[in-house]
Amino acid sequence: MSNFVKQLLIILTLSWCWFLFSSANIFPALLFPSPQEIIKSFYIIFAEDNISHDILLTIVRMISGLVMGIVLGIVSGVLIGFSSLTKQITFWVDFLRSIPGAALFPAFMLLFGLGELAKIFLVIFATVLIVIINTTYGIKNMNKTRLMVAQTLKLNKLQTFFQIILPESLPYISVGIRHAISYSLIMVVVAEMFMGTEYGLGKRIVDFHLTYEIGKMYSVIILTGMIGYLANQLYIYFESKKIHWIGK
Amino acid sequence: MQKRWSCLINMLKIINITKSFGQTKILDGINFEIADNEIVAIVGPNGCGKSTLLKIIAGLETMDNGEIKTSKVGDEEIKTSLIFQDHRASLLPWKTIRGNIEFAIAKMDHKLKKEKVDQILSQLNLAKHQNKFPYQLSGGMSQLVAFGRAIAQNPDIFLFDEPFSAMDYHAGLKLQQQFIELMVLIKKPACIVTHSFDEAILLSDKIIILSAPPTKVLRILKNNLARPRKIEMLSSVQAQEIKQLLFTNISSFLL
Repeated sequence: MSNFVKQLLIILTLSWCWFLFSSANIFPALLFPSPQEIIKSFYIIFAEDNISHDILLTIVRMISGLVMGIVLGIVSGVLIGFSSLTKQITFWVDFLRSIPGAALFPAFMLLFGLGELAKIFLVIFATVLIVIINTTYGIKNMNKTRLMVAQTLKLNKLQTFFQIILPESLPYISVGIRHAISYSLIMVVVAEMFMGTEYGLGKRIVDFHLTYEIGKMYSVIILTGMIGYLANQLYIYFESKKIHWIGK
Repeated sequence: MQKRWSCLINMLKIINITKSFGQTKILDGINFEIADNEIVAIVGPNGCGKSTLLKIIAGLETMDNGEIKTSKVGDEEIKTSLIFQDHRASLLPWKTIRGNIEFAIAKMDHKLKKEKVDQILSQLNLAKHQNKFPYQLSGGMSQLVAFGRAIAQNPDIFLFDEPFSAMDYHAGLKLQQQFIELMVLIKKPACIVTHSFDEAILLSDKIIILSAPPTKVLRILKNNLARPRKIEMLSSVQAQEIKQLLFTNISSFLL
């Protein structure tokens, strides 16, 4: 049996269980919609509620925060890795990392207002630290033999950094990026739910919840999950092509 | 081809090298010479500073005292290539086999570089693997690539730091046979640090036996095992005699 057929069977079985569960009326139909209801809602949110606009906005926020977080994270991670204060700084990065991003909503709203800026800064906060930690780790755990190879090949400092240290750290940096991708989506959706905005998947989930359009609410939740899954898979594909020496 | 040890010019003279790490004296006045075209093996107990000595010659480690003299004219520094034990770490996994060898001569003119790398690849029988990545090769083959990169550097002397110990026994034997044939072609001196008496006997013209730290040269053995060398010669009477000598000299440090 091919992989695809197996997967299809699993989906059908799960939907069937869901169907049975929802028709058993344990929860009222209004609160726990049937699978066919969700499929219908899926169609409606695209046809009537213009959900694609929300998708686009959520993705734009996610990517702009993510890209800045990654760039900032790699640069500061490299600097911290080479500094003589690595241990001390890593302590503070770890401490900051322990603060849930959501706990910072009030502070960020006070500082950056309710607009896009606050949301993007929150995504940067949520992503930059994990990238820093992993980049610093990669720099610190540089293979000694490979550094000696650089020395025997008479590379200067800049060449050693760009041709040996950076590619050697990429697998570590990549782990940070993979985490950052998940964090960024979480942060955007939660920010859209609790900070003022007109569009965005998080905002839609809250709105459909408030108006008791539960089928639509679940559709948006599933949609959000799909975006997260797709972003992750896309990155893994990119990683296996561009950083093929991971784990080798 | 078989009389490589008869050269009398000293390519490299190691004079009274000392080295301490903190309070511990590791090398305590090491003296030996490497003639042009000569292959020297260095054996000694664990922790006697064999690898440190090699790194000092390669310029990767400083010495406290001593001198390295070369027969090169003027102030020109001697060019060395070091082949490491850990071939996985010494090759760059983000570059292909070809890329790894090219990397040693990155500054060379494009056309010349291509010719040279092509030549090395065919010499090492690696041409059909040139577009693979190091992690796709066996241990023996990756070490051969590391050897190829060293050849590309065109050094005055090759330095080997336990080159056959990070692979299985049979791969090691095969690589040693390739090594013997290559060194005959290359006609450059080499210095091999090794744990294995068999390797020392099979590969070298001269064996330097080091003591335990503070390390001195215990004895220098001329290795007259006939050339051309073959793996089977390890069981010859001649080889056994040399091995006997090595054991008598070093056994006190092993126990």
